[in-house]
Amino acid sequence: MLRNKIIVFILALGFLSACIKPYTPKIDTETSSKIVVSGKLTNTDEYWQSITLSKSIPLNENIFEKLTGCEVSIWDENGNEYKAFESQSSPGIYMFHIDKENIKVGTAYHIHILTPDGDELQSEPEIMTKVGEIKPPQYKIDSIYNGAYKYYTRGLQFFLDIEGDETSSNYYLIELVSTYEHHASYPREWYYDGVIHHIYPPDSSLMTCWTTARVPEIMTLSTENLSANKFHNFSLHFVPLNRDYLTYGYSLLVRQVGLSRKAFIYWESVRLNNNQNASLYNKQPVDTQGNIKNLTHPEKEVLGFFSASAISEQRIFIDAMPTNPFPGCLPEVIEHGGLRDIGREKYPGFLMSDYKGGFLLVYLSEQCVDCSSHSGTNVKPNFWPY
Amino acid sequence: MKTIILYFQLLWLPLFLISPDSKEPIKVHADKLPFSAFAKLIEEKANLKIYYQESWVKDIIVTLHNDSISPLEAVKKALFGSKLTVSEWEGNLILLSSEQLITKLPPYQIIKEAGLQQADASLTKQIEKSAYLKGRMADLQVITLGKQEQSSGTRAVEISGNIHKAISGETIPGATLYIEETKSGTAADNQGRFSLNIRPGKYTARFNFLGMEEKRYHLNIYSSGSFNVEMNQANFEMDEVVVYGDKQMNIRVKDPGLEKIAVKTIREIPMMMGEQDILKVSEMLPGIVSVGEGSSGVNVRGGNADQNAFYINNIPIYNTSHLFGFFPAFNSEIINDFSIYKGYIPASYGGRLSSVFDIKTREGNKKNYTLHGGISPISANLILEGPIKKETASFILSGRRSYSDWILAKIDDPTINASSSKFADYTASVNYDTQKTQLTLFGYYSNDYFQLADLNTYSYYNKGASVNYGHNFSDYKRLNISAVGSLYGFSTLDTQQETTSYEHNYQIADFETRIEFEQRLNDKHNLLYGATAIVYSLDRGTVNPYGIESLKVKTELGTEQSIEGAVYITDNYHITPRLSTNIGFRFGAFGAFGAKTVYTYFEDYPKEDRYIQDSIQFKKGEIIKWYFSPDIRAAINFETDKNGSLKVSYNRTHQNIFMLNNTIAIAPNTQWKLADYYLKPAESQQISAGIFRTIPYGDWETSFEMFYKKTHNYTEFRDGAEFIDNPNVEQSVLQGDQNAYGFEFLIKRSGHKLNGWFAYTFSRAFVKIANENSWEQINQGKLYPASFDIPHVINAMINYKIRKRISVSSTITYQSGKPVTYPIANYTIEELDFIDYSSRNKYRIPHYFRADISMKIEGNLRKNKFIHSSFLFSVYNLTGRENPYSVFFDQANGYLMSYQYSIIGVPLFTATWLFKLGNYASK
Repeated sequence: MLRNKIIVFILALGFLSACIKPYTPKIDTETSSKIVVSGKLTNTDEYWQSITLSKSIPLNENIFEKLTGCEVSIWDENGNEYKAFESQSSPGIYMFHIDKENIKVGTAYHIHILTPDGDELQSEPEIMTKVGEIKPPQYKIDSIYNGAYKYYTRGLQFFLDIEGDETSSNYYLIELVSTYEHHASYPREWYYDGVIHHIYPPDSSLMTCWTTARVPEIMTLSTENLSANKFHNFSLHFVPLNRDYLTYGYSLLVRQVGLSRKAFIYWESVRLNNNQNASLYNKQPVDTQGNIKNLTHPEKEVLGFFSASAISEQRIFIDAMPTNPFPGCLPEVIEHGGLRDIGREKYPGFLMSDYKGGFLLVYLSEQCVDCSSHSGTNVKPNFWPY
Repeated sequence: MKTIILYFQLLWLPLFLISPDSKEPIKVHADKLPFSAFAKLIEEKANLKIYYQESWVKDIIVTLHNDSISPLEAVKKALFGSKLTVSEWEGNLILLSSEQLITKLPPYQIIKEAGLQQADASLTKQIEKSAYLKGRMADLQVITLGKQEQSSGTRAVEISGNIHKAISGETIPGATLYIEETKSGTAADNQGRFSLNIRPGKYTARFNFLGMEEKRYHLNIYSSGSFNVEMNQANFEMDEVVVYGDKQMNIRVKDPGLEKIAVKTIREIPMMMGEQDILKVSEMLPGIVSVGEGSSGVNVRGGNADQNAFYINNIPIYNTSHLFGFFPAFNSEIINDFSIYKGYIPASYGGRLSSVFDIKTREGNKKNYTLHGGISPISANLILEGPIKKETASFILSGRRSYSDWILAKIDDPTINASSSKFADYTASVNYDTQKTQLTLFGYYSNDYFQLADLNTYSYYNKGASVNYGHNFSDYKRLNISAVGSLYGFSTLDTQQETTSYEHNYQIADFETRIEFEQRLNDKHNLLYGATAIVYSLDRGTVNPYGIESLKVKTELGTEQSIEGAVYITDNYHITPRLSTNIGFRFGAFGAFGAKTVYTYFEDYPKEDRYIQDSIQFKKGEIIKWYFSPDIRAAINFETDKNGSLKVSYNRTHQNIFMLNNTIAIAPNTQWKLADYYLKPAESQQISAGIFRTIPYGDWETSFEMFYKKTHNYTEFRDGAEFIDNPNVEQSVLQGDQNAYGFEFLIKRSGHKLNGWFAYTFSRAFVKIANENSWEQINQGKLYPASFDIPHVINAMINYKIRKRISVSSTITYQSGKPVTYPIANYTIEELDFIDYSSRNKYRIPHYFRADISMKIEGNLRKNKFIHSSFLFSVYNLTGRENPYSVFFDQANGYLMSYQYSIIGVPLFTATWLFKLGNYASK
């Protein structure tokens, strides 16, 4: 962030405005895709843990190419094998279970994969590291300045005090999972698909949804060079008030993951590579070698890192607060042709009720009547307090 | 008839030479007329006769436009450059061959006899009287050295002397002497002294220097002797934008790969924010490429930015710029000579692989006190100079300060308008010069301060002082002694995060003493030999936690001490008049010494804290490690014909100091690091060859040079290396090989209303870090383009003199895009998207193109006025092209968006006012 500021300063000095514009470089679609191993062994309370196998894809192609039909197993240093089973419902995800008493801090684990092509993949052994007990996450109302558009955005900035002891890891990965409630504006009552339909009583089951997602930021911290294994006010993410995240309640799960030094270096380097900013002092992308090797074809790089980590997690809930989101639902008045203006592609086209038993010639998009069309589901999560 | 009159005239010439010209002025417009036609024109217009021999003038073509000129003056101008003189006789004009005439008429020698060689002359020669030639008393003056009866016959004698500026008495280092008849010449040394071995005889000598009027003399040489030459500023000669070097000298004397820049050039090139920047001008020359807009570094012939040495009067400058590289740390108004060695590096220079940028400041005015200065939107500068003792000692003080805070306050950004930025630089110099002894004291101070709101504060400074003492034992032997001290340091205060706030101070000091002899053995051999010793004391500083909340561990990054010594000798050997060589040898020794603790690591393990095996304690003064560097420097200069030469050079250089920097540009808190127990000095060998030609028709000059360079122990850094947390640099540094090759082409024109140059450089640079262990490799040990590998560079500069006082200049720059490592694929781990990158530097960002234009208007040329002003209007980046500085990627809505980042993407207009007390010609 500092780097950006220096640049903005220099630009400013020359009476200039920042000059950042889209540019599309020509990139060969040269490299054959690489195998990606995602997942880690943790001491979670969940019964099943999983490993996802996939392939890297060319830039900006919106596909997710799973790697199915592999034999996956986790081994511990005592020679115990824990076989994983490919999920029937989501191929490419391999589920495994290890009894709690066999997941021990100080024990080394590794993963072994046999692909349908006959390639044998194996990780280096990773010793499960201890992690400090997580503290309750904090937040405060703050403003961040948008240099490009010259305005302040208000919102909630989350923080975490991180503390471990001498026996626990100095290297942390912080994972955030957020859940928020959001509403559609209208119940489903009238709709048109060539003929008019009336649902009565109006169906309001798709008016309230909850969306859960991983906060797409990698957060790593090392206390190696600090005098104590602790960090005050580690900045988590920022949730703006001009969106509807906080309007009906917001739940945040913060997971503190202890890493080995090697795992930390890996996550730190992919974090650096993901945050390339405009800067006078740009660095080269960091070499992000994971700990998984292709034993059959050593020249084929395997992406990802298999780690064995202790975790400690906490969930906090933020009550509904006043926000000013941009409306997601804009009803459209049908002006000329009447109902025939609702094209076939919009079927079923919902219409606004006049609350007197009839409908108005106002078209309601899917966003207006189905909160799940935006994101999430209408199934309330079990941790939701209301 | 003509012949008869001519002979008659020979006897009476003296009268006519001094007879006044009483003729009315006439109007003359001649365009490329043969002299005979021109003479007819004058005869008709002025109603007079011109007597001459056809054979003398058959090659003379005359172009002259003047509305009011006397016939005598007109003919004089027409004959300028030929060996003919014109005299008036009874209202008519007579042409004479000057050489014949004057030798026969000793009473008209203007010069007193000078420099008699004693019969028992040893090498030491007495300078009994030296004649001072003032101004332009006649077109060609005669200098007689020795007496006819003392003539040594055909044995070569030595002529020598000093070259000064007439107006201020300053010496003119680098001024050239050229003898037309022998087609040989020499250049003045740093003290403005020249000497030349020549057989007794009659010669025509020409003295030249950038921005000065040519001086021509007849020399009658009987025996050795010396004389002084005063040169006048060329106020409105057409060759104002003579770029560097002198044409003849480029062909005959100039070493391969040497560039010189005239201060005059700098003034007329369009510059950003009106700050004249000598380093930016150097980046327009072939083989020298800017690291980027807003960065101080240069890459010379495919070398890294830390492979160049910068000296100002022998003081090393570690950071050559103000404000992140936007402005130069030198005031170009005080620069006298700027030489860049990028091919043949003389043996007297050591310590850097790629090049030496040597800046010499000028001496103060030895005759009058003067004051001048300049004001631009960013800074103001002032120069005061004058004599301490007339003709002998002078001083010059310069100062420059920025006032850029007001600009920041106007910017609509809370971070920026709470920021502050200041810079300043000052120099002071005292110069004492007698014929035998010269003494120069010089002091330099520059500092920068930059505070970014409450997040960061940077400051840095360069301080230095030098004493240079020179003594001429004789015209054959000269001694130079110098002592130099310099101090560079910076401080950083980082308060971005309370928990990690810290402050850090860094400092490097060096002290150099040097003793050097210049010795002329005979007319073929000139020796330069000497010894130098440098002591470095480097304090990488302590990273201290800042504020009570900070948990940063206090880290002492350590101190280093080193000694660097070298002996060197160069023989400048003129094998034949056409073939000359410079063969030099330099033997250097570099030793790092204690007190110091050096850690050793387990073999076959990465150098990391946890693999430390043991430590070695070195006591104070105990040598940790010696490195020796025998270097050869050689240049061969072969003159193929009078308009061309062929030059070849070979160089071996060593470098003991490195920049700890793994970013493209050089950050203001970049640390320098000395070679140590682990970090070996880098070694480089370069071979280059070039062809130089002048094309007399149209005054064109061309050159074509090729080079190949191979470097060992080139330093690269581990990915993501940080130097602020780690006292043990060996954990972050990797050493490998670097190769560079390319060619440079230059064509330029001077001496015309329209002049300028075009330079094209092709060069490649590759790095290979292929150590045995995978953790000591970069790019898996495979060859990759260096981040400064820029194959094509074009620089063009055009200057057009519209009127006497108005000139317009334009520059054009093109560069291939810098290498870059691009993302090539996406992948997903635990719901997060990641990017897979190509091999290192496989791609390139888009090319760079920029055109600038400037106009310079001088104030009126009246002689008697209090203040002389000039104005410089310039537009930087005329086309407003958004040149990419870098290309970066950002993830938005699951897509990887690519952007280019430009620093200056709009045309930038600046007006600068320059003033000085006195008239145009005042210094």
